[in-house]
Amino acid sequence: MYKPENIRNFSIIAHIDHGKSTLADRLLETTGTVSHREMEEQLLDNMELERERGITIKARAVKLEYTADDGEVYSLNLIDTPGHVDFNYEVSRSLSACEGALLVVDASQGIEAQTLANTYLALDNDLEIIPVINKIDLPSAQPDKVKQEIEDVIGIPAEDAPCISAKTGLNVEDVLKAVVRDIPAPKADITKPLKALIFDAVYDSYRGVIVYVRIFDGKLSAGDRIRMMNTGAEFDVVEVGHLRPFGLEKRDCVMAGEVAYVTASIKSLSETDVGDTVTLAENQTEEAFPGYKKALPMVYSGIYPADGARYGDLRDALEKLQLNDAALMFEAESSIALGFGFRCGFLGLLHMEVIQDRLEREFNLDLITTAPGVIYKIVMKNGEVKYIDNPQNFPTGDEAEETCEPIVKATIFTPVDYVGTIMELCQERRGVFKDMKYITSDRAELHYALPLNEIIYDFFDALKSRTKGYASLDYELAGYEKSSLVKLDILLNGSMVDALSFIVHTEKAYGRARKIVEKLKENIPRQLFEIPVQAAIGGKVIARETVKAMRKDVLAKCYGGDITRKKKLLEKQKEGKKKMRSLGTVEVPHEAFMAVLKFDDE
Amino acid sequence: MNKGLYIHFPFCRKKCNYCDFYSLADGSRKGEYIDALCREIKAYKGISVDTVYFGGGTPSLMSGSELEKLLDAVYTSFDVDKNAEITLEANPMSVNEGEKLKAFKSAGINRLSLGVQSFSDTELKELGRGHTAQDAVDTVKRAQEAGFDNISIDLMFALPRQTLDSFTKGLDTALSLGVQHISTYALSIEDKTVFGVKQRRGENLFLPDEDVEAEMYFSACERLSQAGFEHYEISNFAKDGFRSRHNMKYWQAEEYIGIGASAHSYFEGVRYSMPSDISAFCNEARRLDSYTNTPEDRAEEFIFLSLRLSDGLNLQRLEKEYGVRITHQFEITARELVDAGLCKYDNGVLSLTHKGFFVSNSVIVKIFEAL
Repeated sequence: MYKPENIRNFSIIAHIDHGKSTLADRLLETTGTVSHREMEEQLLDNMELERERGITIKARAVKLEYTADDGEVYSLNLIDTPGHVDFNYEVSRSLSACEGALLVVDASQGIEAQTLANTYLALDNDLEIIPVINKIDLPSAQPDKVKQEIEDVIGIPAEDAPCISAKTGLNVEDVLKAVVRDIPAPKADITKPLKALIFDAVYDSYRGVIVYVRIFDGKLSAGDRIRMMNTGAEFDVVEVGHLRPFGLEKRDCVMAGEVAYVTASIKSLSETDVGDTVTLAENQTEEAFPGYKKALPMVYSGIYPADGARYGDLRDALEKLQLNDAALMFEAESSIALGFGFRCGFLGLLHMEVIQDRLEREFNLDLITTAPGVIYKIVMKNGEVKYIDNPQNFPTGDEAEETCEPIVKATIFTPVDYVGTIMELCQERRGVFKDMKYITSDRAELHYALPLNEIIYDFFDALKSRTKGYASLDYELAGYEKSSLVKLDILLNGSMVDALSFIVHTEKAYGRARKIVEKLKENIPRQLFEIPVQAAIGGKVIARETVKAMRKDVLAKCYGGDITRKKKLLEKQKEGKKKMRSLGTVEVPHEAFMAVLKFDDE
Repeated sequence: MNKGLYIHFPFCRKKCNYCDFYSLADGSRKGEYIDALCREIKAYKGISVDTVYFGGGTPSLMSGSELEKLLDAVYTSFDVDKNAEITLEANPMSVNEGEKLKAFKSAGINRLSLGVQSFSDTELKELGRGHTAQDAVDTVKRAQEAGFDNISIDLMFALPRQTLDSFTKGLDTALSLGVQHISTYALSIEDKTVFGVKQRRGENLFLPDEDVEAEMYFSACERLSQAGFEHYEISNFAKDGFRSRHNMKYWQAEEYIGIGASAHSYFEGVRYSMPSDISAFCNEARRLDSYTNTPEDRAEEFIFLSLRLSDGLNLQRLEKEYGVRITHQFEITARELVDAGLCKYDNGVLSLTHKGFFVSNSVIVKIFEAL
């Protein structure tokens, strides 16, 4: 029975590890939606990788049925949000599908940058925020202090916030009560033309794209012809229904206020952009939802099969992943050193790692990846403006009038003890200090302008290791700034290895060059010839190491007529060569390519 | 063409710490085994051989009469060339045992290969050898007195705690003894040995590093050449006319018959081996392990065996007898190797230099790739 006044649409905002998934599990259990026995750990995070990394990459939604004290049955639609800065846009679309959000804060850790950023997103979307203090069972829990922090920092009342332990189930019922009591029912008018917001979409090999929508106005049934207002694509609806923990629940009709799925024989995710507005082709709503944008990659890298013969497999794998991840972009490229591969664009570094992991794990591919880079803006002498995502396209000589790099506005939350350390780190990474606020007596919020290029190397790791994991980071792109950039080339035995080139700030060039030639020296085994390893800018060598020639590689004894030993040894060496890339006369193991990508924070 | 005959005697007083050849410290089945060898030898008829080699194990543990019995069988079954080289591998012996040398000589042995390994008692102890440096010196002298005029000495380098100095001193001692042949090879740590187990456990064996090893090798090359020895194989040096004729057959991809547990043969175009198991050998219904032996295998063998020798790889033979076409890429690779000082390439013969010998595995793989 359709009762919009009994619908509640909400998200959970939480920092990684603050217990979002555990709370979601507990809500499913408490409402009887999933029994404890059925409960697979953390149902909402259903990709293996997500579970391992403890983060949600793709948003999911689920409908819970909750019988409140007044005897009324409520439909609670929980829309899960990705918990990482790379997926900011997806978060904002998920939030705008809701009327409220649970702000889950760890009782011993307090608010983190990510949480705050998402809370602001929620406030921008006029969501009702319900603070929830989690992990109060921990000895280090300081619920009152955290409540105060919420009031001070976010400016919302937190006195009555449920204090729970999602792990033990303590007071979880209070959360459900608060959801029903505090989050407004959707304003729903089923007489208006259909207006629905796409907040997620997944590809299913049997049904095509399954679109997740929040319906704001009107209703939608199988057989309706729908139109995506931004892409202009039209489809005939095959099926609609609700999202249940164990799958899709088919309905004849879904209506205003509800969260639903739609299938319409849609072949490609590129036609169902998150943030787009779904309406009826014949009876259109007046205006699409604001805020729609195409997800644009910020980080680029080359991905090559370690075994050149598997180029086709890599292409198939990327195509398959793209079906489910519209933000992944790729195009064919070739490298003299690595052969044929793809230049891939990612939302951020995490997105890149996730894709690489999935390629290796789900498709059994061995990959060689090139150093991640960003899109640089080059103003040429002739006035032409170029955006380049591949170091190979960096202008040579003095063709460029001006080089610019993307800058982000970074917000870092930290216990005050680490302010000095973080300032030092930001300075090392060419950050420009903007301002700092004490949000409580012992926590601070720092604002920096940082080059994106610096963030994508190891900024996260460095921040975590230097602050024992206490500091958190959020950032958004803030445009391009003029910057002195150079292309650094690596030469092995005098020949340039294109796949190892990268663009770097002049000030950083020498340090990076040193590190890279040292790493290569460590990772390239001694060979028959001495191999000079050089780093150069525009032909001028700025760092050099030498891989000494191998001195011993011999089977000393070959007696008694037993030549099998020698044969085995030669077979083994031939096998070993397959794990190498032959660059001119130099054999480079795959690990060497990977090693130079890892910039340890030393 | 005359073939070689190899006879394996798998018994030792005790297993050395580095050895992973097939050998047994329990000699209780020695008699039974020698009978089985005789039976096996007698299975051949009329094959011409011009080298006979008793290897092990420690064949010098045999008594004069046991050896005589084996050689009688050999003379009966095989057509042994009158100038045949007949080698016995022997360990340095104590004085009493040394009396056997005369018996060996009169039984027909005309070449001794002595497993000296080192002239440093600490190194010998480390290796688990059951003799001293003085035993080795005495044995050489007694052998010479017994009339042996073709004596080879094995010397190892890259030993635990060995220094360049102790190794070159050992070389000088060997030279002072007036032997005709010296084999000197680097210790390699094999899995199923005392050293291998120690290394796996993470124990430090105090092995010299790669650069020191190379220096040891090159100093041997230099010293022995100066003393008039020809460096004719990676690890082998001989006075003029004293190359090991038997071992040359291996390296020249010529045929040989191996008899005994774990013995390898290359006979009538097929390579095979007998099981490393004396019970199986004594029981005549045993299985032979033959290896694959395609024309490609034979060509590969010819290449890597030839390159062990200073005589080198004859490209004309490679082309004519093994059907391998000499590619343009080969010429390029050969030039690179010559430029790097690893090879010599003259008159259609590619051979390795000293420097090339010591990295020969990698050089050979490079040559394979080019062909």
